[in-house]
Amino acid sequence: MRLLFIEDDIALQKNLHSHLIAANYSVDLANDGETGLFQGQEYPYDAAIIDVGLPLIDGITVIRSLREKNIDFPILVLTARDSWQDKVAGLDAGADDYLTKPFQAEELLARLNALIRRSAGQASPLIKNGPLSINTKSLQVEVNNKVIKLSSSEYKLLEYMMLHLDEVTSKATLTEHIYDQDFDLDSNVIEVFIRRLRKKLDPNNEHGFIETLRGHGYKLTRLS
Amino acid sequence: MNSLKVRLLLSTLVMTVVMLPIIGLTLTNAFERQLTLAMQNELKAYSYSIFTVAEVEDNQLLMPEFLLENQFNVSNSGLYALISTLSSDKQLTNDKSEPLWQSMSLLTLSLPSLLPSPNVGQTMFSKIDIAGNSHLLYSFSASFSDNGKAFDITLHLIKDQQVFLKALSNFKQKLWAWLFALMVVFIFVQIVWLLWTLKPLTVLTRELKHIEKGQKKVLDASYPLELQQVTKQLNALLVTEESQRKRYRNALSDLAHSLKNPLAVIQSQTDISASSSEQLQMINQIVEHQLKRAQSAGQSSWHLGVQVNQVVEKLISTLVKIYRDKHLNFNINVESTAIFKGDEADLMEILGNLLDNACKAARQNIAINVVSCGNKLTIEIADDGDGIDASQRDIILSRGGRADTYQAGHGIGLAIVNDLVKSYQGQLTINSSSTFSGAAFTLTFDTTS
Repeated sequence: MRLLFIEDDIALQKNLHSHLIAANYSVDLANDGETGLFQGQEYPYDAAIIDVGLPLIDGITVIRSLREKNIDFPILVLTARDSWQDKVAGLDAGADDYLTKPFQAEELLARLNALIRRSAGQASPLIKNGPLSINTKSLQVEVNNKVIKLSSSEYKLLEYMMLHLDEVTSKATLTEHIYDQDFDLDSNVIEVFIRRLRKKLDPNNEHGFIETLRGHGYKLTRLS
Repeated sequence: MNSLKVRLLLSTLVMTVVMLPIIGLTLTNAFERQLTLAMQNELKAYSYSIFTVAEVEDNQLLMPEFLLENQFNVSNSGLYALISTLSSDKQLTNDKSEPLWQSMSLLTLSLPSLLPSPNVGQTMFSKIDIAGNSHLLYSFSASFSDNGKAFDITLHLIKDQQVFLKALSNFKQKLWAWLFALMVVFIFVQIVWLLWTLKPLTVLTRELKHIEKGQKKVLDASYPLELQQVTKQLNALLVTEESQRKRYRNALSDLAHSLKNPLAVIQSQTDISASSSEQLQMINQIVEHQLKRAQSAGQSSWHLGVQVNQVVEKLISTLVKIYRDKHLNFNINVESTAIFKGDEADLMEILGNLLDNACKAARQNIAINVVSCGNKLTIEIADDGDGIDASQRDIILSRGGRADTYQAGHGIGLAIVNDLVKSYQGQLTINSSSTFSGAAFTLTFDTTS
């Protein structure tokens, strides 16, 4: 999952960045509202974490501008101003949830996780598709109740596809959602990860989880 | 008598009801006096005409058969003349028995036996009744010289007052009718004038009520010059009060921001120990609680009205987003006229915390009832959660004002709510919900201030 994280406090940004990376997120950073708004409009993020008090353009204006441009990825607002007036203003501008500073990193991850699931129409952290299941909270993958070990990139790829069942996704889109903006988009690495995922999840090709649609991309088929 | 309108109306009524009859009485008296004077002058003039034709010869009064004024010659005409000798005691005389002369108009009438008899050269006016009618009597005593011998007589001129009384009665009738009409017109004009003059004050009162109810921010109606200074100052006061409160709130909010950001940095470190994390939580709670207490407008501010339904709507739309996964049902029953006399941010803080707690506790249903009855505003927030044990209710509410005495995890929000409610002399009670199985938080505020 690819995130946009707009925070002007460099120390806080650095600490939270490491927590987010550890939780398998690809994170693009921005230090002010103007850069953050530009990135939000340019890249297809799965969610954004936006601080309210930002230089150049404040967080509430960034959120409102994104929503006005019909950019609908879930937004979590970080704020040290914890009055209900501020919370109402943030959510009214288009944010989906808020977190008041200071907070535990685990709470941030839990809220973020819930927002991403919710935007994909999943209420529970446990997403099932036939014999395949992933837990977005514990990052555990099982096939027929047997735990499958995946690398960080493989998990990211699978999680994105589990949240977009039956959707044909191009290699470019997958790359955009799995890697941050510094990644070389011409790389053919997605093909390698898909091959590895097939091998780990369905070594005998019994279920046919991942379908290749030549010239279009890949699709994780919904199974009963 | 505290109303200007009532005072002015009463003074106008008193002026009208007292002054107009006084004017009426004065005019009637003046008219009556004038009529009487005219009659007296008329009788005096008649007396001169009679004395002109009277002669005394050989101690005998000689009078012509007919007088020039025809009314003296016609019987019962209303104008009569009688000449008698001046009595020896110069007070009274018995003229009836031996009059020296009487006009032909008096032939069929009988006069009272006693008539006044003034001194020679003196006149006297009096009233007598003849045949049941009031008459004016003019008596004048004179002395004729007959070969050096004095011949004293008294001339009595009598005029019927019927015409005079009728004229007076007509005048009175017309005068009072006109005065009554004038009184009605005057009172009507005064009421219209009063309403027109006091209209700006009525508009001002209405605008102030709108401001109190939170329907307006400033006085923007058109006012006369005399009131413009007052309304201008009031507007300035309203704006200054609000901007000062905002500035103060923003300053405290900035302070909270400056304090909490470093706390967030420390808390987000990966290698932070459990005890340090706990201490950080404690510092955060103290900062949060004390700053929120300081932010409360409470008693000190001018309490304008905030429409409760608008605040509830904003909060619900926010909470629906936050608790989307719980699919909560909000049963909202808020009277549109319900007004909270205080700061909007404080009401939002109170209701936001209570509703947030209810959303956390509820299984599926939350009810919000807001009733405004007389001078009392009652807000009830109930949920279908597990409720709060009766033994715990007082403990939760009776916690002290020190933030560091709160138990972690049990809503510092509730303590802030309690402090805010107390600052508005309100009451917060916890009961079991009558609708659902869970808790019901009831807030009561006085809205008279």
